[in-house]
Amino acid sequence: MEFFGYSFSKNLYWVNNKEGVVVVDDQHQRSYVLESAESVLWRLLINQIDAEAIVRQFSIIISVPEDQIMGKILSIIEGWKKNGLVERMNG
Amino acid sequence: MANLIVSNICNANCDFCFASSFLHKKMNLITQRFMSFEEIQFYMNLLDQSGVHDVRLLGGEPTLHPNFPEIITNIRSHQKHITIFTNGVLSEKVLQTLEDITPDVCSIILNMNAKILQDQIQIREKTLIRLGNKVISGYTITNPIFALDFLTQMIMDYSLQRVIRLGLALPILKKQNAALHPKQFPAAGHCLAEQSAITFQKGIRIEPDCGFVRCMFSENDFSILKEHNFHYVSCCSPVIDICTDGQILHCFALSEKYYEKFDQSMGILEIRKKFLERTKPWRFSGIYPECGTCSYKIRGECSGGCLSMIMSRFNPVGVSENL
Ligand code: SF4
Ligand code: SF4
Repeated sequence: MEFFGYSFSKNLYWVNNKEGVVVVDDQHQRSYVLESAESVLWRLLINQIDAEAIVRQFSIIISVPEDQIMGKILSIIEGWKKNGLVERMNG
Repeated sequence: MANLIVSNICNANCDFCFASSFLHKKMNLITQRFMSFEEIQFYMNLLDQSGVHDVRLLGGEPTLHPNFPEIITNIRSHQKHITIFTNGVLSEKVLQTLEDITPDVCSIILNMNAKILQDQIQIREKTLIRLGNKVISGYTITNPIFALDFLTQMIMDYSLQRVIRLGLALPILKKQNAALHPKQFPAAGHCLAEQSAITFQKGIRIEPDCGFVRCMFSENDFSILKEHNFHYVSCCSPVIDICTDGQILHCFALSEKYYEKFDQSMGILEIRKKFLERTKPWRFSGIYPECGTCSYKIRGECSGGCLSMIMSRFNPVGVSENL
C-alpha cells in the first residue's frame, strides 16, 4: 500500500480503541497509541481512498486549511517513519 | 507451575475445548499419541532445576496415558504437587492409582460439562463415587445463561470438594471453537452473581480461571459475589504448556502464534518470560475498545481480558500475516 512516497512496514496490526488507533508492531514488539489527528489519517490511509480525497477529507476533519494540510500529513508520516511504522518507497 | 500435555488424544468431544484443534494438528503431523515416559522424566528434571513445584497433567485426556500410574509415581518422587485435569472417564487402573493419594499431594479437577457418551457417564459416576472428596468440579461457561444447581447437587450427592473451578469458554486464535463473545460477558457475570447464592448456601466456593474481567459484573453483582465467597481475579498469565516433541506453548488459546521449540539453553521460567515479553504490546489494549482508558485497568483490577480475544480484535495492515 503506497501513499505520498511511503508504505506501511510489515507485521503491523491496528485496532480502533476509545483512546485512538492502537498499532502493534509485532516484529519489534512495540505498540503505539496514535493521537487524534494521526488516528484520522491512519484510518483514511487504511481505507485506501485516493491521495486527493485523503488530503481533502483530512483537511475537513481536522480543520486545517488545504494549503497547510500537506505539511501536517508529512510531519505525521515522518513521525511514523521514526517509529518504524512506515518506510520510504525507493524510486 | 507448568502444564505437561501428556496425551494428544481424548475420549470426549467438548465443542469448547481449547486443545482439540492443536492436538488434531499435532496428531496429523507426528502421530505421537502420548508424551513418552523418557520425555516426562526429562521435563521433571528440568522443572526441578527451574524450581517449579507444581505440575499439572493435561491433554487431551491425560489419564489415557498407558504409563499413567508410573507418571504419578515419578512426579511424586520429585516432591511436586500434581493437578490432573480430567473428564472423569477413568479406567480401573487409573482409579486405583488416584484412590491411593491424598488431596494435599494431588488435586483432581474434573470437567463437569465434558461432552461424553451415555456409557461414559456411568463410568464417570463410578469415578465420583470412588474418588469423592478428592475431586474438584470444573465447569466451563459456554452460554451467558447457565445454571449451577445441578453441579451443586452433584457436589453434595458425591461429597466432592466444596469448590467449583469456573472457566469461561475462550476463543482459540485463528480457529473456531465454541467460545463466549465479549458482548455476552455482562450477562454471564449477572447470571454468575445469581447462581452464587445457590452455591454459597451449600458452602461451595467458586474459583475463577483465566479470562474474567471486572466490568462483566455490575457494582451490585460484584458485591453479591464478594458476599458469596467468589474470589475475583482477572488474569491472563500463561502457565506454559509443555507438549510432545519439545514444543512449548504460551497457552492453547494462542497455540497458533506463540510457541517455541524447547532449547537446552533456556529454563522453563525464561521461556515463560519470553512469551510475556512477546505478548506485552498487545496487552495495552483489551477485549473492548474502552479498555485502554478504563479505570479498573489503570488500577490493576482488570487485565483487559483474554489475549486471544484481544488479538482477534486487531486488523492486519497491508501484507501483514493474518492473525
Ligand atoms: S479493562 Fe476492559 S475488560 Fe477490564 S474492566 Fe475495563 S473495560 Fe472491562
Ligand atoms: S490468552 Fe490468557 S486468558 Fe486467554 S486462554 Fe491464554 S492465558 Fe488464558
